[in-house]
Amino acid sequence: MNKNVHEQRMLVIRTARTEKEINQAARNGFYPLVKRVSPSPEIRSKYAVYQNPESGEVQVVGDYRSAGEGNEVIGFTYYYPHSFPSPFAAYLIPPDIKVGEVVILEDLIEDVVSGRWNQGDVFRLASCRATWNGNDFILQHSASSEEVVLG
Amino acid sequence: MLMEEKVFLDPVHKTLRDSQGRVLKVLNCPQLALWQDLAVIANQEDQHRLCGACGKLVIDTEQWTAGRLVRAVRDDPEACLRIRVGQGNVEIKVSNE
Repeated sequence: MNKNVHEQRMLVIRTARTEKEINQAARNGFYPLVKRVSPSPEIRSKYAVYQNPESGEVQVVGDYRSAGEGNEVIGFTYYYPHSFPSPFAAYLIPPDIKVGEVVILEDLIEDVVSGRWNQGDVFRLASCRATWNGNDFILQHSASSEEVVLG
Repeated sequence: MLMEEKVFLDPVHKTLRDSQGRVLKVLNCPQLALWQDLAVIANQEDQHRLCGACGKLVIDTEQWTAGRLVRAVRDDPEACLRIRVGQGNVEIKVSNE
């Protein structure tokens, strides 16, 4: 694996999410900073399921404003909408990273709230800028009262 | 009768889909830009802002119709958009596929 940089020359830190990926990265010269994958009970999305009583087909909705067709067979229910391959993961630290360096954590291991929706959904931050302090990353993020997606 | 155009945002997987569930666009900013950090452009009524990291215009879609949003993405798949969860022209649905 190569050291990756963005247009702003910011180091991108990859995440390995399985034992095999972590060990492969270690053999390639990275130091895997291992962490638990711990779902936050605060992060949640919702769904409801409607079913056509004749055809049996279902329609899933996730928004109180959406009009479901058919009979409501599961009312709005909150759930944790993410799944990960292992209960642990590791940030892959390159040997040349500098203390104080600001990086991009491409695939955040920690469950951090990125924003909220007034319908009750709470969203997980996928990526984050962070500062390397020599032992761990200090995340540079403050949760927003609303979720805005750019891209 | 024409079917009303709908657009669905999946904020978990950052995808925008049409009424048939087809992916219109993946909303992925590699610079992790934030709307509040983008440069406001004079005389644009804040419908566009300039991203200092990549130099692209970011378009606020909040006042558009759903149909205009679909057309814009199909016309320019590389267009950079701002979509707020809860804005009136986009319904929210997390894909489980």
